[in-house]
Amino acid sequence: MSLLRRYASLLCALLLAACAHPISLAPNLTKLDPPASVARPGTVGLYVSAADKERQVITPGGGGDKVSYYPYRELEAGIYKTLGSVYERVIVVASPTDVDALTKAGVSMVARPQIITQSSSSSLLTWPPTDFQIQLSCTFADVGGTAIAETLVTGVGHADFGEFKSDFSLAAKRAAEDALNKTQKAILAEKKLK
Amino acid sequence: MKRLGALLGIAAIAILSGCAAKAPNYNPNPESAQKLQAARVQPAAVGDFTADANVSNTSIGLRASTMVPEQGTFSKYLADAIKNELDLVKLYSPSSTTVISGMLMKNDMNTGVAMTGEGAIEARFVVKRDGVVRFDKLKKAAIQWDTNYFGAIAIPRARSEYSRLVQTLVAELFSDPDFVAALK
Repeated sequence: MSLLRRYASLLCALLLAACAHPISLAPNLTKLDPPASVARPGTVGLYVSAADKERQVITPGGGGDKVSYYPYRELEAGIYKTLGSVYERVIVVASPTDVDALTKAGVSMVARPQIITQSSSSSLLTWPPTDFQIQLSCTFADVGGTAIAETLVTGVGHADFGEFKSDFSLAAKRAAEDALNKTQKAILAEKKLK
Repeated sequence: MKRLGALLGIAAIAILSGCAAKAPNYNPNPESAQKLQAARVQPAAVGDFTADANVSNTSIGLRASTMVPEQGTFSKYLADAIKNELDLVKLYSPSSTTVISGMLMKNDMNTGVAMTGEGAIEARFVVKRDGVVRFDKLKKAAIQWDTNYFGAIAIPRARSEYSRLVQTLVAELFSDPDFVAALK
């Protein structure tokens, strides 16, 4: 029985270690920087592919564990809001290359985000990440597909045990808010996007 | 030293498992809110959202853990969800005479044991303009997700699904032609 219990415990530990703890990057949208004083005219089409929305990413947590999340699905609304804080109108588009549909919708420019994430923890005992990084790039193109500009920022977030024990996603959310605020600044600063 | 490390580890896991943890930030669905924008509705304010006395409004039990809303109540979480959706498409106006209010009638999450977790939510939504009722309906939503035997996976997974449950309810509301007409 003792041997059986040992093997059962080992199996449970292995199964648990193979699983990733789900977290959410979705930021508090009310914490994003306020809109630009004057909205730039025009309609920006935001394109996030269905495949990207379903893409689950797994990165390290603490104690040898991992965390899982859906970066595109969880940041899409934040990116939408960030674009809307600069431009007069933003719409989600089903295709970045359907010129007829884009023209009919009044879209003048299409934005496509790319998200790369990384996480880590300084804790050997608890699984939520203490540090999170989100590299967020947005490529802007006209409706014909000609590239206009690209913004690239890295958002960082940190949370200690005392902070994340009631919100395991805190470092990730902070990184998301930081990445979106930096993206707004980058868009405003990019001369080709004026 | 090894025993101390093991004890600290167990304590940390116990704290993480047994603590009340916050519900995720509400994640608006741009495609859902965009339908209101396309329908050219008027901007609206968000009024009071209350909860039926039998509803889990301040916390939801998830196995050994508890999920609590940052806003203090889940009825307020729902109100903020509506506000975030409207704000996303620039249709939120706190000074509007068109006011959306509601009452949370059901708010359940179940992590399940090994196969499927379930969530169910119901709310009565009322739209008034200049004090006159233009819309008054009960809306329902339910979702399922793949759960896990281990609480360390099942509990945060269930927690992360709560935003999707509310998002599904809001999508139900926004796709109701009577609701859209009430906002025009």
